[in-house]
Amino acid sequence: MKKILLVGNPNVGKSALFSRLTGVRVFVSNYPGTTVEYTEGYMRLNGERVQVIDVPGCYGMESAVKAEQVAVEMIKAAAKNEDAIILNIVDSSNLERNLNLTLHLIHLKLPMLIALNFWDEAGHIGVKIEPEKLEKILGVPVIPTSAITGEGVLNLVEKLPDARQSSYECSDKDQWVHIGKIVEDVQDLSHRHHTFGETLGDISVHPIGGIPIMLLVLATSFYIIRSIGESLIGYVLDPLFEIIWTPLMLKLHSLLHFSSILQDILIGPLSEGGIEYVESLGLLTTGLYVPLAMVLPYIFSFYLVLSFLEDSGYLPRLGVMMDSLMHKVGIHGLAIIPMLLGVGCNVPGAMSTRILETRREKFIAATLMAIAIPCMAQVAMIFGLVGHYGTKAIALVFGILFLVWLALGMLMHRFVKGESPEIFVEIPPYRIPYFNALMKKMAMRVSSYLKEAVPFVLLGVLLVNILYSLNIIQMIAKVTAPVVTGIMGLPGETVGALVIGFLRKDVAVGMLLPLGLTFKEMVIASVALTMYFPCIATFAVMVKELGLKDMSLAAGIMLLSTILTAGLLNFIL
Amino acid sequence: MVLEAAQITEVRPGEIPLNKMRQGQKGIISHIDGGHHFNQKIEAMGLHLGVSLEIISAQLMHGPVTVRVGSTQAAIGFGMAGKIYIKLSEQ
Repeated sequence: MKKILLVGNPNVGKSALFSRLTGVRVFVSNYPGTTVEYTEGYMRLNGERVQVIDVPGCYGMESAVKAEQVAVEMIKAAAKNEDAIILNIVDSSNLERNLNLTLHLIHLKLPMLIALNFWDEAGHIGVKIEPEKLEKILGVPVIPTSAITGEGVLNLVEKLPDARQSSYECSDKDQWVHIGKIVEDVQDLSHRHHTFGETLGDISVHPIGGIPIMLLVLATSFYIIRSIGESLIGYVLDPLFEIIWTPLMLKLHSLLHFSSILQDILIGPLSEGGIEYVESLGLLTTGLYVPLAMVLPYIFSFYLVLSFLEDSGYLPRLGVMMDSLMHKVGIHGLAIIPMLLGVGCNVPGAMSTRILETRREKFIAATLMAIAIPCMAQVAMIFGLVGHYGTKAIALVFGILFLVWLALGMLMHRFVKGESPEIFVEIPPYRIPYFNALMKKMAMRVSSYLKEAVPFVLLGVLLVNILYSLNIIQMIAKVTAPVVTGIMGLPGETVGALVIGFLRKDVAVGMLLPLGLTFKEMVIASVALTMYFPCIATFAVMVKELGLKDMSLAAGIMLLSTILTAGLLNFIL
Repeated sequence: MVLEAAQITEVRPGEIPLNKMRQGQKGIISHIDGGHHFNQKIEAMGLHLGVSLEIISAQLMHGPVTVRVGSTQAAIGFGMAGKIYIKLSEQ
């Protein structure tokens, strides 16, 4: 055995089990479609190095969804490979539906074994399965597990070498009849009352009752994100920079008295003997303060809330509630997931458009996200810059972006050719997020932010210094003045921010601060910076997901809609 | 438009399309009026002929219908739901 494929329906805990087996950290959430691309890892089995693959979830062996196609291709390829075994992960609380894929897998004649995952949860809701009986019927090892808590995983590892071809035979045609018989044999349901979670689940997709719940969830999320972010900045990071970093920087500044170029690049100009962290544009001042003290607190608070929502199981329900609204822009409710992920960072947002089926849906969803959804790095900076005008100013910026989202979406719905299928999604039960899993996910997200953002912010700040000293930004400002100043009503200096926005939006918003913009200019600039183009990392992912041709089209839409929106705002405000 | 096409529903005596059912109603899938691909897609989710289901909710304005099948819950677009016919259980 050289290769183990973890195969199962979406949202049965494949990634959690993968993480247990290999130690590789992967994202685990409570909604179908968390994993859209496969992940590889390795484990030791009897002294042998074995490859383990976390395959995206699939319901059957045919699908129109990209992520599921990836899965089916991988499984079929493995069927030709004699060294591969399949570890079929089954949701015990949903045995009947899960066995459909199991029987399809059996037809492939690969050695396999079955993990009855969510074993504890199934017990709680009154589902009793006899693994020995199932093992006898199917002729492959069956092991109860709970990947999240780790229960049964050791036992599973011990049984991996026992994987074998199933002896079970049945025709494709009356598969459901066979499944019915198996389930009747091995499963015992005890009658029970609706649990609180189920009642809450039913209310949260109720056409009327679901609306206050949705508003409550969204408002609470926003409130928590903002207050945690603000408190971290005010009580932790600002004092840290002020008390520890400022004296160090001042000392360094005087040590560097021999070279004003180094002083400028590393620290920037001092203001009244102190340091203006946002305006100085030094590598060690602005370059560290923006990603660590302005954006990181919000990244932390946003992902805390998002991870909680993901693991609770609310997101697919939100998709159902938003479905009608989303249909107005040509995508279905589940496309709320790329939008929400996009608020954290547009990169995973663009990746997750894979849960949508057609080119049209993906195009509309990715373009809308890139144009009208500011990432957390940018939101944090907008909070920092516009925030002192009060919540109204922030609401104005987001309100404008929402209108753009809606108007542009309706236009694309009207003009983009192709099909938009309807929503069809499994709704997982509500689960209380498992603290350790939640913290692991937070740690992954925060560290990937640090790894990706800090170098790019530093590069951005360096680039600003170079471009200004070579007079390049001033030149671009001159050329673009008719549009930027003439139509959009922004002073020529904002062009620098627009140029840097290609690299990092947070640095770009920060560059607006020293310009002393009026309230109106600040609002227009914040909106324009969100809309005109995605940052380079998002751009790269979008090219990969949409193809160069569609991405060029999307880029055209971005530029045009930015100029129109900013022009309109310049006229109205 | 998927939605409009789905509103023209076939008349089948004793059966109603899933999207005409009300919250709390139960029944058995008696007929699926779709192509091979459609059938496969919904069957894979456990919605196959003869299975019993219950309506959890139906969104306003032709929004998705949420059903409970065994211990699975699924949300189905209004048009798709119109192709699934149900024989109501006596209550």
